[in-house]
Amino acid sequence: MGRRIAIEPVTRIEGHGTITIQLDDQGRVSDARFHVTQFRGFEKFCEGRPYYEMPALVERICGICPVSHSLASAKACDAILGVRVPQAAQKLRSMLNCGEFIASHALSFFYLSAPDLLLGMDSPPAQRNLLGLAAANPAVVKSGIALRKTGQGIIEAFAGKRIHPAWVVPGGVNAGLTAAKRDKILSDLPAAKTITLEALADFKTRLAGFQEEIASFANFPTLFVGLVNPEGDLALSDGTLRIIDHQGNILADNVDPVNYPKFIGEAVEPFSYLKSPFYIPLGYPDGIYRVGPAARLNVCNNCGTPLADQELDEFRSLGSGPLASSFYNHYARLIEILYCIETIEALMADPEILDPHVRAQAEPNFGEGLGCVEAPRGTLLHHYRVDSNGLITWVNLIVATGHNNLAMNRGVRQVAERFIQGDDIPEGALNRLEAVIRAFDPCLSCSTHALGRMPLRVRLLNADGSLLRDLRRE
Amino acid sequence: MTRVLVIGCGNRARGDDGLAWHALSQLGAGPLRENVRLLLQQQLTPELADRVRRAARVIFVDASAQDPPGRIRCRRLCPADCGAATLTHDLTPSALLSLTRTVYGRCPEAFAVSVGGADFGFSEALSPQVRNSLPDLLRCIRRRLDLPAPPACKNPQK
Repeated sequence: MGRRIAIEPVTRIEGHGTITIQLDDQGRVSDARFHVTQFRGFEKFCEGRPYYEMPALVERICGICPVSHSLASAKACDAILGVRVPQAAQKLRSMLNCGEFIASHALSFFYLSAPDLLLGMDSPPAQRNLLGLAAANPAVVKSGIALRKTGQGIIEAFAGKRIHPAWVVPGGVNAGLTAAKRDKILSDLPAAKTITLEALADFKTRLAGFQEEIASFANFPTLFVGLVNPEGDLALSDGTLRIIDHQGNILADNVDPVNYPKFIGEAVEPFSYLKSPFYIPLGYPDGIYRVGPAARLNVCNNCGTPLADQELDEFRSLGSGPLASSFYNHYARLIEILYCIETIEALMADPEILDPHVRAQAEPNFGEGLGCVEAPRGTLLHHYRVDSNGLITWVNLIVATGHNNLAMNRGVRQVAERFIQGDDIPEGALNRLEAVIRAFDPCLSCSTHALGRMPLRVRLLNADGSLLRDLRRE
Repeated sequence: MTRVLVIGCGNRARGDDGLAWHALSQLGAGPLRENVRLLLQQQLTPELADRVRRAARVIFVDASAQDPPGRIRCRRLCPADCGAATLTHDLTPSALLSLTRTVYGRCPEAFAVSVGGADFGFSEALSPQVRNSLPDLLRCIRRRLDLPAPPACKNPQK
């Protein structure tokens, strides 16, 4: 008789989820699933709201990446208005997004994953948290706090507050940048860059100790999707979609995000509130693809900034094509933080950023608009339709965590097959089941439209579906 | 150095959970000593440790879901491990103090001042019981503001 294991809730991620592992009659893993058990519903309750409320409304989807939602939303509204956003505002929006990347990636790397990476996947669970890490390595936690503060400080300097700022608006932003704020942001960047470079140097020395995780954390062929700029380099705020296969062959390039429905289909599964997007030409579920930090570095030609490009060269030397293991997301996050710091430095040198003309005004000229940006966790699409009064009639949100749903599910199965034999689950195996999900840094609050963090439940089921073990972490 | 940091915690859109927003706005509207800082948060996050370590005294103001509506409690806080495997980016006051001490080698004197809430539903208004407790709550906070400065608490291990 087969059995089933369940982990509930999954810890150190954003939101609530459960892992279920099905065992066969011989006690081998026959299936594994990641269930997202919370529901938000933004797509539905935004209907009837005026378009201009959307950036402020949808950023309430998330307290970690509100900026990304406000940017994608504002871009969708820009399209509804049919305006060209002033150059200064485009650059300010880009730097705001970079600030969020720094804050979000610092949270993921230093607060959520560093306990695994520095204390070890098999370290005692009572110590495998931020306080345990602080006791073992206070300097690392100090660095993480400083880096996250830098990112949040950038957001606050631009937008007035750190969480849920109402600065990005349809047509641009609602206030220009002052020289004093520019100088304050610039003064924080050298220390942030030093912290990031030190974290990168340290992380690279630790990679050899994670060969099992590299081999099993969603290490399989998939497609990769991300935004690139006209040169094919990394683009976070504006760009076109590029889709590559596991060997690095470009399947689609220069795809205007408005054409996403030709390439991205959306499937639903009865075991999860999270959508399962797929690449239409390959069908469902073969059209599995990944977005996010490692996917972006796989997709782009270059980062386009000096230090990040040096690090990208080293990153790519780990394989002969796109890096398949999602464990490398941790590495890619640090490179992207570096890229964001360098990008802000470069944009700050442009006097145009102080131009007070930062908003284009118009009434709605089109009935539909699409906004696409790279959020810290991956490509984010906001697609709206409005009526003749500018009231929202339809909303479709495809969020990074959704894009990665198929890969997270298959990744959980890969880890389960490697680390679980029978119903005696070692604590380290339990942690790895969570850690493979953590590598994607999923945000379930973003992607299912519940309040709360993501504590994990693992459920172990017999072949007949009866519950064998139910392991919870609150 | 900020000598006294008052951290109000809660969600002002959830009825009595917004207690601290009402209390600190009233506190800020009156005369305050130069070295007193007021900070409003929806939740306590690890990066607050950098602010907490700079203070000689921290007063946490929050609503309590455990105490009877309107009851004011003030207690001294000590750093404590929460031991939670789920610890991510929101902390209890004691865990924040513990993180501060562990990372920065110092921890301020700290108090938690709370009022039992009656209604945590969707509202920006306080319940009558909590609203009526505000004057006594403010007196309680001001007494802690005016206490003599404590000596800095150093972690002997750092």
